[in-house]
Amino acid sequence: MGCVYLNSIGLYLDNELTLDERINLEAHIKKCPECEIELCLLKLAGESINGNKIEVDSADFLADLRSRIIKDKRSNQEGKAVINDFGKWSKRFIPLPLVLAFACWLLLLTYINNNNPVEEYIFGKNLSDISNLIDQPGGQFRLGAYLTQHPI
Amino acid sequence: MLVKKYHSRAINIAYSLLSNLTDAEDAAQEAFFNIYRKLKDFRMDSSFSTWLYRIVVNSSYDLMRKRKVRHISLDDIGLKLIPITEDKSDCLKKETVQAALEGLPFEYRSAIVLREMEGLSYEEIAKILNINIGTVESRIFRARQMLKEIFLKKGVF
Repeated sequence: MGCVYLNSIGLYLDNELTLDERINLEAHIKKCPECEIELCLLKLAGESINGNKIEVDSADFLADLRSRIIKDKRSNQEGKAVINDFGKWSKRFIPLPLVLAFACWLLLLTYINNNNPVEEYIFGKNLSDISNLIDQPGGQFRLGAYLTQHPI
Repeated sequence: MLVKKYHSRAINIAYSLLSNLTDAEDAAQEAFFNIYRKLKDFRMDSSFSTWLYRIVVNSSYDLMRKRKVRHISLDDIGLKLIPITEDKSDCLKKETVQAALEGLPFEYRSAIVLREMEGLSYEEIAKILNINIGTVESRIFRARQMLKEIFLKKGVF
């Protein structure tokens, strides 16, 4: 069983004790060989780490870091450039609103042709029912579209 | 300016944690590169050095895991008894100290290195390692005890 003050020696070395605790411990260490040896050993261990510092070649380190940062900047700029190029390219070659409008127009035509035998109403035997066509939902529009395509 | 001021400290901390100069430089490079990228996000709620130390410790830890740095025992490097001179801090060769540090778990090593090499307070170390002060105290205590035992066992003291 060691001295009860042994655990406080590290805190003493690290200036983590209050003034009173510090004074008490210093007084104790003078009387306690065990604590005195512990203080020397811990101090030496700490100093050994502090003395473990190495000289560093600044020039190489800074040059390497600078080139890495420049490389990173370039790759970022290239990434942005690719995105920008794609944006320009798509604007030039894929006018999206126009494509959408064309697709809608095609769909509409298909729908009209498949589902609405307008011709039958106009030219066929159901001519008398043309008023029924106009009364149907979207009937006027379908008739108008047909007449636009096939002016009489 | 920041790099010039702090890079030596960063490399020294990383070297103490990794025991290899090339790895230490890589870890420090990584740390400064991360700082360069995150500098605009840096909040002034802690000092720059605290932030830097945290990033250096984390980079070193990541590199250690990546390279799977093995723990070397003092027997591996064939330690010799070194005569104690008047200046006791010089009595231990760097490789002896480094090997002893390698014998400590990373969490103890980082705490003791920040304390002894940088002279940081327990509060600062707690902020850097993101742990509470009580944990810092116990890690430093255990690290010192382990170092002391390693040195005594090998007859270095």
